[in-house]
Amino acid sequence: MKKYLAIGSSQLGGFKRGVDLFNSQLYEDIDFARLWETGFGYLELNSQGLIVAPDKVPEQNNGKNINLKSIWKIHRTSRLPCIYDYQKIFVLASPCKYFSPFYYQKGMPIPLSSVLLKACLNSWQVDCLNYDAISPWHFRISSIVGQIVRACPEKVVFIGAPLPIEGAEKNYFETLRTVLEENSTLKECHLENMH
Amino acid sequence: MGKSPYSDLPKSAFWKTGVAQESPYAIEGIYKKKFSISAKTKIATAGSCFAQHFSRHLKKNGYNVLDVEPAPPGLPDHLHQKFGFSMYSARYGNIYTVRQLLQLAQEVAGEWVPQACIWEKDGKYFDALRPSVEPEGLDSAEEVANHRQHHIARVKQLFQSLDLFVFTLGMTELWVHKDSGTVYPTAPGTIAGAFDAKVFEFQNPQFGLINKDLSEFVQVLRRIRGGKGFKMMLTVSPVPLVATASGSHVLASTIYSKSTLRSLAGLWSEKSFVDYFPSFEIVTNPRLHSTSFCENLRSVRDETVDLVMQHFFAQHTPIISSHPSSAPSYREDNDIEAVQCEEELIEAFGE
Repeated sequence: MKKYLAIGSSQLGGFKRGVDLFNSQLYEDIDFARLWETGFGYLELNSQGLIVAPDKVPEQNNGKNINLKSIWKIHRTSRLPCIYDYQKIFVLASPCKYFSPFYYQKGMPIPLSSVLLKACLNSWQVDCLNYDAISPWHFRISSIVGQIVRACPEKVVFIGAPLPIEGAEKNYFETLRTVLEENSTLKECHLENMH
Repeated sequence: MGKSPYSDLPKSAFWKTGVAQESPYAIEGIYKKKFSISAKTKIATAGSCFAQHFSRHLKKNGYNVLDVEPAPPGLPDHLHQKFGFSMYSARYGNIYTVRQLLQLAQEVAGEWVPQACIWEKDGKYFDALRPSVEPEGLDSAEEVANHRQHHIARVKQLFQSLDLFVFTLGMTELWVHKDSGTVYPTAPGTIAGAFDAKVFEFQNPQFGLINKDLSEFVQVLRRIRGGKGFKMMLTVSPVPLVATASGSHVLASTIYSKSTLRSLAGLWSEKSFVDYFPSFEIVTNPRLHSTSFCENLRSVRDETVDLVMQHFFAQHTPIISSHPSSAPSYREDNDIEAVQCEEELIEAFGE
């Protein structure tokens, strides 16, 4: 048993490597559990506090026809992660506060009140019509994230890295970057939201 | 019998054939457009609660309604209204009076600064000029000021880019900060703040003053736009006042407010760049025997809104076809498409 749990999908690899480079002791204190994007969306929190995957072979993004239940576990163990075993749970999945597409339309940062932020976070939805070539799977807005937050809000730490997201760099982030570079007011507004 | 000047007039000129015997669902000649609105026309909408319906239907029918403060993609649709999103072209909430509109434009132009416009309630802070857009308030007065600064910058962008400004005149009665003249959309103490008769006062400006306000608004808007022309469409909200502070009966006050605003719209629609759309007349048509309204005789039924918009789209063809609406089938009151109306909060103070 370790102090911390880190769950996520593709972002988890970078986080894992980063922690190892930055602080090997911290690395030893973390259990990592990873599932690729499509699969992550199917995770559930059961009544015992275990994060479980269903006996399911999703069609989407699953070229090797992998059964989720057979592969979801803590890295290098055969155990399922239990939220009650950890002091903190790092969620390497959006939504997180730094994940701009969740809050802004293309190139239009707005000031966000705490109530508005909560309303967004509680919704777990994304209107993918606002984006080209982005589906909710890319956002990894998953029921498991909401369930963990509701079950133990004091433990959850969002660690967000919005990139890479297929198709979003040019269509979203470059636009946002340009807008922020050209408009100091919007830049301040964006930075304020990031605090 | 000699020829009367009425003898060659169309049936729409006579009450009997134009109203009493005319279908209220397709009133011939009630509205003839003054100018066309194309798919490219950039439309900005604002006004009192009823304007939300207008805005929604324009969007639904493919018109280019600007939205300079769109909702966060992560915010569910049913919460947009709660935070003042998707109601109008910017997040200014309801603009009930012409004075409110004028002061917004003056603030955008940098010609005027509102006073006493941050209200506190239970440790939370509200923008008194649009208190409903953050219904639970913000954490500090500074945050309110930052949000307002951003909002004003966006409204400036809106005013500079619009081709057509659609404004629904709501009422004449208003609450004012005595020292500065700052006008609020709600009475102090309704959503936040506290009423103090030494600080705030009730006003019910007459036609001349409201006309002057609208003239000044047009001039300020032109300045913001660097002289670039624009078109304006005026409507009068058919929604009666929730309450009046005038000392008169609320029915008399409602008729006074609406009559004054209808006269104003009539006067302005004589100008080439202004059109008037008679939503007020279509809703209050006696032929409908008050069935335009819900049980409270105030909220306009969705079916009536559809009816109003059918008359509009008969002249301004929809850019895209929306869902066809069938013959009226009145739904229950609680099914009506909700509109955000701060004014209704006053009702909590009545019996």
